[in-house]
Amino acid sequence: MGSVSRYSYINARLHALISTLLTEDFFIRMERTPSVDESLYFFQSTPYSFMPGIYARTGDLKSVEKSLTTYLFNEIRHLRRHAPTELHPLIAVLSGRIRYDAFKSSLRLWYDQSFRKRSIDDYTEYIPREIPLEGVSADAIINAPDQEALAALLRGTPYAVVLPGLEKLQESRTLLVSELALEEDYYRRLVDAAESFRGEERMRIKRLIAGEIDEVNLGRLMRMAPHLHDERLIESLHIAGGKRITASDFTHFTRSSDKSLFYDELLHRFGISAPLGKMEKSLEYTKILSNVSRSLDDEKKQLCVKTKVSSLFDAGLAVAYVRLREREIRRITHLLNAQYYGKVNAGGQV
Amino acid sequence: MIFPQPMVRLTAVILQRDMDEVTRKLLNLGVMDFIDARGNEFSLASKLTEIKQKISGSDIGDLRSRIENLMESAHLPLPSPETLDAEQLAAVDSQLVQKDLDNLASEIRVIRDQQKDLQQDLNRKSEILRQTELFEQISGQAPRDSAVEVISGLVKKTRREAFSLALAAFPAVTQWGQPDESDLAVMLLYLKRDQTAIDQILDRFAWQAIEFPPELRGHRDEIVERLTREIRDIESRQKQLQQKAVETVKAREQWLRDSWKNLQMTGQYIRMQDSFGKTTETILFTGWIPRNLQSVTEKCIRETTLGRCYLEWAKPDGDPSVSPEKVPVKLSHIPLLKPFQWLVQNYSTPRYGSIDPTVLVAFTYLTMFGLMFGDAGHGFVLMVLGALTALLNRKAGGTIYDLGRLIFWCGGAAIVTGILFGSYFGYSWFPALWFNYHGIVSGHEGHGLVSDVYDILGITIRLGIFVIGAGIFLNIVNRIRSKSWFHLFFDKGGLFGGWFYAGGVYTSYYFVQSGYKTLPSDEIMLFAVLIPASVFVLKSPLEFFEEHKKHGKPFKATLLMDWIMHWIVELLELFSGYLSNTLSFMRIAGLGIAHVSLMTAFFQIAGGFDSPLASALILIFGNTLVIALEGLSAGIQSLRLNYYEFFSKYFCGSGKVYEPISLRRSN
Repeated sequence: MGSVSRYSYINARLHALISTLLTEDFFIRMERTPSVDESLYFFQSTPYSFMPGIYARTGDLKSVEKSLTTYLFNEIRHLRRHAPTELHPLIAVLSGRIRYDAFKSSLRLWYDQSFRKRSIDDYTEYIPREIPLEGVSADAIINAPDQEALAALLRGTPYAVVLPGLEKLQESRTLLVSELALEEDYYRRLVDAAESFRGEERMRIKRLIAGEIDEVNLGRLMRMAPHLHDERLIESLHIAGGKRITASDFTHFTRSSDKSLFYDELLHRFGISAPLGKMEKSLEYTKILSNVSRSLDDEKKQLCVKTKVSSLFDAGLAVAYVRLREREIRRITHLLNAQYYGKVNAGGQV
Repeated sequence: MIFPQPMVRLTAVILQRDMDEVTRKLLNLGVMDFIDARGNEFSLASKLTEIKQKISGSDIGDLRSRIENLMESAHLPLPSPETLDAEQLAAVDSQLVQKDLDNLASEIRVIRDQQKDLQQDLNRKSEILRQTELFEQISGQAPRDSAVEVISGLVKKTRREAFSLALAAFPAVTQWGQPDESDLAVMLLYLKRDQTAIDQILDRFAWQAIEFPPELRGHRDEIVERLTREIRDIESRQKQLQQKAVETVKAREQWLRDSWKNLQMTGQYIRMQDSFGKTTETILFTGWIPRNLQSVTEKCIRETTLGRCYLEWAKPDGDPSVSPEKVPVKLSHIPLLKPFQWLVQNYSTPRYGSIDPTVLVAFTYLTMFGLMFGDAGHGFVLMVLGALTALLNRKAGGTIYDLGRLIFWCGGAAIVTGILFGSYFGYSWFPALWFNYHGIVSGHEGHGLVSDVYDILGITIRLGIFVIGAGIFLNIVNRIRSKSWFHLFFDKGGLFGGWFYAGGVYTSYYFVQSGYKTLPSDEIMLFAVLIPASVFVLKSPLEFFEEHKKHGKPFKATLLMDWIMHWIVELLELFSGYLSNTLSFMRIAGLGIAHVSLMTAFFQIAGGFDSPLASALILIFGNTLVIALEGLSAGIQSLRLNYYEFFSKYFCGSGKVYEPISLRRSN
């Protein structure tokens, strides 16, 4: 895409950042460490070297998690600053997910205190306020006195897509519909951002995005659909833009009597053959889904290597990097939480 | 120094009862690069079994890294490898170490939990502070769209403490007024979202709402200040707890250090024995040792086993069954040459028995750098910077330390060439000993052998011819030592290739000397260029006959065409390759001229200012820029010329680095 000189910085920067992604060995070592304090010191010579200091200062894992989110946001913002203008919309949408997540957290806090009447005072400071929402502040959402006030706040912002779900909140008593609408809107924007590219580059970006959407759809079919009884709600779980899973799969799910066979057929599309008889347990689902994630990550890593060898810039590289980094941060967060809540008292064993 | 240190392979058989003592002694000696006795390389492998360990190396590694992380968290340095002594190695009770570490982790966890509670308190205070700061002044009810509520009322004097305590779980702030007989007026600022819970508290304390009294108005700044103070107080308590966690680890420092040392030694002990093989009664091990340490090692094993051992020593030289790639390479140079050894190993490790170019690189690298960066003043700055970098990183060692020393050397080379060119920060404070680079680049005619820019280009081409010639010579030496006769003759850097290059150089010299008019006589051309070029026609057929002899590859008539094509392509490559390699050295002159031109440009810019201060600033900026930019360019280009024009002619890489199992090395 374009001349080498215009893209040389972003190309070099992305490859340098990709080289700092943590290895599988690193995670294995981390998993074998029983306490958060000890395992955080593995991060001393990684891009996350700020974590041990924050934990030592606060003793608070949630503060560490917040710092990870802010780190990722700032890193993407830095990329955008140094990228040619053609890449800005794509990078903005990539960073948009962090904003959407921050919005979702604010909305959940509002819901917890307004509907479930729970105290949220211990959680409000973990909303990363350094990540500005678009057209509304996290504090305004959290402190909105009622549903009408919240709706008034969100109208005219990119988050207005949650309003139809909020209107039915009294009867549904769940944010599910709003959150589904938010995620669907996010992927629609991502697919639109990919359309501005040309030729093979567009194909590559779309393939990466389609893989991501497939992963989300698969997760929804395995994790959410079995717990829902409303056929229309199950069908609404589908996000358009994927390749391996289509809207008709969600329709088939409700009609299929043998769910194991159904999943078997789905997983074949991801190149995974699993003994589905055992897949009744959620643990097996998690295992299968993480295998899917890993194979899709491999696809992203291959693109990184390929572009490094050819030395030519490809916007897919930005997509691949941001997603790999996001997943890495999610994995770190899960592991630290497992250590914090599960391992410490069990003498090093989960 | 010009070849890697000679190695010798030891194969030893000892009794099982001596194994522990021999392992300890060899660990302390730390000279043997072990080969897995049960691996494919060893003929007796199938008859040997592994040594069973009570604890696995990975478990040892996990425990060690837990200790390292804990020590790191308390800023405690790890024990120096010099303090390790395998004689003090004790059996590791991994469960006990694990338990002690878990206990320590639990103690820290208790402190972290206290910190977490404080942090949540701090979070609440921060939130209410943020909301309070939004007020211009607190003088009654909060605006309708505000997230906070401000109320005033009366609370019993006796219940003031309890009231404050009940509110502590919420982001809320109070301002107390003057007391009357039994009640206290109080202003309460809290978040609207906590209304229900706050109402319950107010009911509990028989809250009596009153009109906002004047004495409670206008305390916004005071409240902000109080909250800020409270936040600072929490932060300072956080620091105390943080320090307490550090002290908790420090209190166990000696135990942590001792455990780490024992685990480190046990790890190496297990690693060493992992390469041993066992029969019913005996232990067999094998590995490489530098030849000069043969007698020390033999003495050590014989004394430890009281002679109950069988030792067999084998030299790899001349043994066709030993592949040079499998013999470890130890490059040994005086410390002054270490930065250049680093440059060589950065390219690749030379194969055992081939030339180790460290000394040559020291000469060529510095010569090239000096010619590109010939200024004694700039060289002095580099030297000081290099010395500082090396000194500051002396303890840590590693790449930055080596880089610092390399910069020091480069600075030295620049001082020497700077004196030869009479250049000191671009000024000619002393006359040039060789030629005035600045003068020549500025168009003033020089004297003697170097009178214009073309003469400078000529010098660099001559240097190129010398370097390439040296590369061809070294390749011939390598080929003779490895008895690769075919490559000796037919390599591009072999005898015929060298002959062709020498002929080409002579022809070019003759042509230039004749004022670009005539070539040497036909007889000389025939001898110097055509004969070596023609001999290359034999290369493909000879390769074919070798293949035919070994694998019975059949002959086809079309092969003749292939051979001719190969010959033509080879000649073209030979000609264009040597030509471009030689001309590539002109970059030395190019960068040298750029260095001088940049300085001249900054002198001209500085001369355009009337103010001496402005001129001085421009010159300081110019010198800094030239040192940084040109220093980097000259360093990179010297490296490039060494790697691509010099090493490519003769360097045999893919050697295996000598890595003995030793307590003195980090593995």
